Formats: sequence, C-alpha cells, structure tokens
Amino acid sequence: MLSVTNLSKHYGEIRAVDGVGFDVAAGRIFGLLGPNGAGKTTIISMIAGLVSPATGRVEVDGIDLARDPAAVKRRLGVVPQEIALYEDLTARENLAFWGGIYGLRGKEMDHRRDELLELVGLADRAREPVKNFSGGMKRRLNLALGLVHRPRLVLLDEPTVGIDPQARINILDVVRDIVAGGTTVLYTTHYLEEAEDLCDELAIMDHGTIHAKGTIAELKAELGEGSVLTVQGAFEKEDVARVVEDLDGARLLELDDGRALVNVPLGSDGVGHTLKALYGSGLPLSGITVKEPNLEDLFLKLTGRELRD
Amino acid sequence: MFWSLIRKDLIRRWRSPASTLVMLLFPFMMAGMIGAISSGPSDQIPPTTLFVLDREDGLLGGFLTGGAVPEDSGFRLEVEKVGEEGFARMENGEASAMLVIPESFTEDLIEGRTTTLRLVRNPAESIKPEILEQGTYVIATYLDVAVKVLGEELEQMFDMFESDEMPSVLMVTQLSAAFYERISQAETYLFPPVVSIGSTKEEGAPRPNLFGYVLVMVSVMSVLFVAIRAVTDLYEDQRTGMLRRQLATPVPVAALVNAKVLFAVVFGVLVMLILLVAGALFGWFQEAVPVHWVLLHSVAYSLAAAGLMTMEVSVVRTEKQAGILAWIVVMGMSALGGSMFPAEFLPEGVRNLSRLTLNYWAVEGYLDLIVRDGRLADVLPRTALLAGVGVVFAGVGQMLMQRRLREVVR
Repeated sequence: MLSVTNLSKHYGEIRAVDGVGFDVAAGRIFGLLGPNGAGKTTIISMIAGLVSPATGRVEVDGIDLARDPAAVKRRLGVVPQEIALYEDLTARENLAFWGGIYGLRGKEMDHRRDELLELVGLADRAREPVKNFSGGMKRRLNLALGLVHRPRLVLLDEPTVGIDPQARINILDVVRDIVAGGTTVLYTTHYLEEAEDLCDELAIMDHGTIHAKGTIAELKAELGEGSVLTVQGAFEKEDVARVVEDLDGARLLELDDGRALVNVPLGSDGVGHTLKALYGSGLPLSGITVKEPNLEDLFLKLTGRELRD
Repeated sequence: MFWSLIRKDLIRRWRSPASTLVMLLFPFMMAGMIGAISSGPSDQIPPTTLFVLDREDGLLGGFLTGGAVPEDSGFRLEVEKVGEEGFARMENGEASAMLVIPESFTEDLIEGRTTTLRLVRNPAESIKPEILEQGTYVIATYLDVAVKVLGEELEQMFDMFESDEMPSVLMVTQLSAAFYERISQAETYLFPPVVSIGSTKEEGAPRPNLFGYVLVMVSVMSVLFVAIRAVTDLYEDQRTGMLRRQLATPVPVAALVNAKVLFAVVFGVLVMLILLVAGALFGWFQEAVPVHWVLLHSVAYSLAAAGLMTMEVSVVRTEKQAGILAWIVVMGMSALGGSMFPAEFLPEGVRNLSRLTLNYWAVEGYLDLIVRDGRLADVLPRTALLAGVGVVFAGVGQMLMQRRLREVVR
C-alpha cells in the first residue's frame, strides 16, 4: 500500500530525514518510533505532499506521489499532531466541512458523519461547538476528520499526545477498528508501550535515520532471546565487562561507568548464575533489575540513549 | 468543494458576529459623529466659494459680497461678485455654486411680486453646494419675512439707501420706531413666499442627504475591513494548523485562495447591502434606487477590495504584519479616497491622488446611484474600472498567496 524509498530532506546543514525507506502492506499498522526531532513528522509531511523531498520516492497504492499528487491525496487521510479543528463550529459542522472538501454530499455525508461520531464516542455532543470540548474529545474529533472520506491509508502523527488514559484507549481502539476494516495506518509515536501494543511493524528512528525495522518479535530478537539485566553501581565499565565475558552465553548490550545492560539468553547458565557471578565479583553494585527485553532496551542499544532523553 | 469552503466561513462569521457587527455599526457611528461635529466650529473645513451674478447690481448683491460669515460659525465662505463668465469659471471648479440675482429683484421684492433667486450648483461637488443652498434659503426667508412685515417702511428704507443725501436723524428715528412697531406686531408671516429659491444643477436634481453621503463613504471603508478579515483568515488557518491540513487534501492551493477571495466578495456585498438597506430605511437615499446597478457596483468593488487585500497580505510573513500593513493601506486609501471626508474637500493636488484609490471610484459610483441621482452612463465606467482592477488584483494576489502559503507550511 505504501512504499517509501530513499527519502531525504535537508534544512541547510540539518538532515531532518536521511535516506529513509520502508514498505507497508495493506491492512497493517506500521509505526515510526523515535524521540522528538527524529524526523517522524517530516516523513509524514513528505508522504502527505506538504513537503518536497530532496531525494527519494513515495508510492501509495502504486501511484507515484510526484507524478499524481492529487490521486495520492485522495487515498490519504492525514491526522496531524496538533489539534486542527474549527473551534467555533460543532463536531457535525467540522465533519461536514471536511466531507465537503472530499466531495461527500447529502445522505452519504449524513451517514458517514453519524458513523464517525459514533465511532469516536461524540454522538451525544455532536451539536456543541468544539471550543466546549475537553482535550481528549478534541483529539478524538481530530482523528475522525482524517477518516471522513474513507481513506485507504491513514497517516497518524502522534495522535495520543497530551491526553488522558481513557481517551488514549479510545483512540487506539478506533485505530484497531479502522485497520480491521482494511485501512492501512502509518503511526508515529514516542510512546514505546503504544508502539509495542498497536503496531504490526516498527521502524526505530533517531536523527533522521531508521536504525532498525521489522515486526516487534524481529526487533526484540536483535536483543537476543532471554532476559535483560540492568546492572547499576559505582563500578568501572571494564570491571563489569571482565565479569560478563567469563559467563557462558551472556553478552553486554550496553556498557558505561555505573550502568550496564546484560543479555542472558535462553539455554545459557541462566539468570541466577549471572546474578551470583556479578554479586560475587566484589563490584560495588547498587542494584540489578531483571526483565524481558523491550523496545526501550533496543532503542538504547541502537542509539546509545534513552527514548525519553 | 468551493461551497464547503465558503459555507464554513459564513457559519463561523455567524457564530462569532462581534467583528461583523462592528463593521456594520461603524458607518452609522461615523455618520452620527460627523453630524455632531458639523454642528460646531471647525477649522478643518476648507473655504467655500460662492459666486454672485448680480444682474440687478442692487442692494442684495452688495450686501452678500460685502458681508461676512461669523468666524465661529465653522463655515468659511468666500463670496465673489462675477459677470456672465461666472458660469464657465464655476465649471472649472472655481466655485461651489453661483447665486443669480435677477434684474428687477429689489423692485419685485418691494412691490410684493414673486421673484426668484437662482442658485446654480457646481455639478462636480455635493456637500458645499448643499450648504450654500441651505444658506440661500435662510436669506430668502429673511427677505420674505422682511417684505411681509415691513412693507412701506422697507420701501422707504431702500429709497433712503439709494439716495445720495445723508438721511436726517428724525427720518432714521421715525423709520426705526415704525420697524419696531411692525416687528413686535408680527407673529406670523403669510404664504406663499414672495422670494423663492431656484436651485440649478440639472433640472429636477434632488439634494443629497448628508447622512446618506457619510454612510456611503464609511461603508466603502468597512468593505475594505471585511476583505482584510476574510483574507487574513488564511494566516489564522496557518497558525491553527488548519491550512496544513487543508493542503494535505486534493484541493489545490489556488482553490483555497480563490474560495477565500470569493468569500470576501460575498461577505463584502452582504455587508454593503445591509448598510445601504438600513440607510434607505432611514430615508437617507433617493426614492428610486437602481438596485441591480447597486448590486453590480458592490460586486465589482468587493472584488477589487478582496483582490487588493489578497495581494497586500501575501507580501508579509505573519498575521500581525498583515493586519498592520492592511490597516495602513485602508486608512490611507480611505483618507485620500473620500471615505473619511469628501474628496472634493481635498486640495487640488491631493485630489488627483484620490483617483488612485478604490474608495474614490466606489464612493463616487454609490453616490451617483443612490444619493445624487447620477446618470448610469457615469457609473458604468467606475463599476467597470473596479471590476477590471478586481480581476487583475485577485489574479496577482492569488499567485502571490499560493507561493506564500506553500512557504509558510514548510
């Protein structure tokens, strides 16, 4: 459904996006995970035809964006990160406006409007001016506006920023609903849990480039199967490295003075053995936590920094 | 799609009517304020020239050319006695009106025969001739009252003035006593008047109403504000992210700009028509208004205003800059173009600049259509000029604005 090849965008010396490429199959949710400034919104803007890429190519449903932008835009639904609504209009009027832009009229418009209001849980507030809505309600309407013309591909740019957990759950449910109906979704976020919970495939981004991509399972496999130990204390990194090297199968994922990330794979001596070795080494440890590997660990491994840095 | 874009803006105006109400009330407030100011002294009003063609060479002509209007009256009148060449001079713009005193005026006056003071108005001016005509009515009324009340004594007085000999003290005392007695007995005066006023610009031309005049002037300025408000909406859309969202749809940028211009035209025409209908209900306009022409003129002017504002707004970077520049342009054009005070009051050199403003052509067109009963043949070129300028401005503005919008989104 979506094919992005070697996409780049530079602003002077700054490489906002640098040689990015990925494919999204129809009916799938593809996530772009990365911190603020990673280049996610610039990619969305280039796919939406708002920003011209320096290099690269975007195809939607086999149509080249550069050759026929109008045809591509007809297939796209864009839900921007900022809440873009006419606050003095009601929810119904906002939907009617966007429907009208895409040529929806009469009963078709009425039906689609009611359907969407029901979907995002705003049917009972449909005739109120949007300025009376809470932040979560505005977010939900913001999402509905991008779906009014039944797009084949929806670009969701951080749709859950700054809202309460209940509204977030509602939005994620709506995304799942539309995907179940055959729509393809490109979803950007910097929330790991959200990406892990929602996306079929992910690309992990930082500084305009994709560091890894694949299904959640494939990405986690990069960390190795087994457990991840986070070791903290007042130690030199060489001392921890020496201890881990002596352990069968264990490997360092990340190492710094005072902090180390150790993968203990299945089939090795196991977590207990590793803990015993570390505590028995005489290193000044302040604590060790054991957990299943997650995307945070992967991001740390790939970029050398935490996602929320 | 176009209708969706325009409908949305109309609903938004309806929901937030404050700025629209200000635009609608502003012309009425200005009409009231100017009315109040005109009742007091003002040094701002330029002198008004009245020619007097005294075919009789009698007392009234001497009185008018020798007299003076009190300085604190707020009206500076310069009276010049002229010959028959006065008609040509007035057409050259040297006077606002010419008072023609007929050959046997004094004799007819004293004999009680109806006589006519004819005021020939300069057709190129509106307000000053109106003031002069009102002044002439006052003179006629005084003369009328004097003739009816004084009768014989007035005849004696004229004889006394025309005599080469100095009147005796006794004669003056007797005449004064008779005057006093007559005046104290006169409570009313009879009709029909002995002296009537004949006003000539064109045969049967109605007098413009000052309030109607001011309403038209200021309404024209209001339409410029309507156009600014409509076009700067694009910057508001940019600030709120709506523009970015709209540009991600298949709607071309040109269509978004055109829709905004079209909305400015529709809304400008609506505002203008509401104001003009209100003025008509107040009875400030002539009875037979050519509605179709007024509508056509309004469309042409609103298009020119919207086009100009689109061009102007597209050369700045922010909503705030757009507002400041637009305010300067509107105020400048309104001051020069006759929306703040009549263009005919401006000095000769500045008056030529008026023709470079949209206000001038709009105001003159409206005045001819609904206040001055001008000929449609005079209005058509003004309407056509505004329409032509509007098309050009809107076209150029649209191109510039497209470029600007693409830049601001990035």
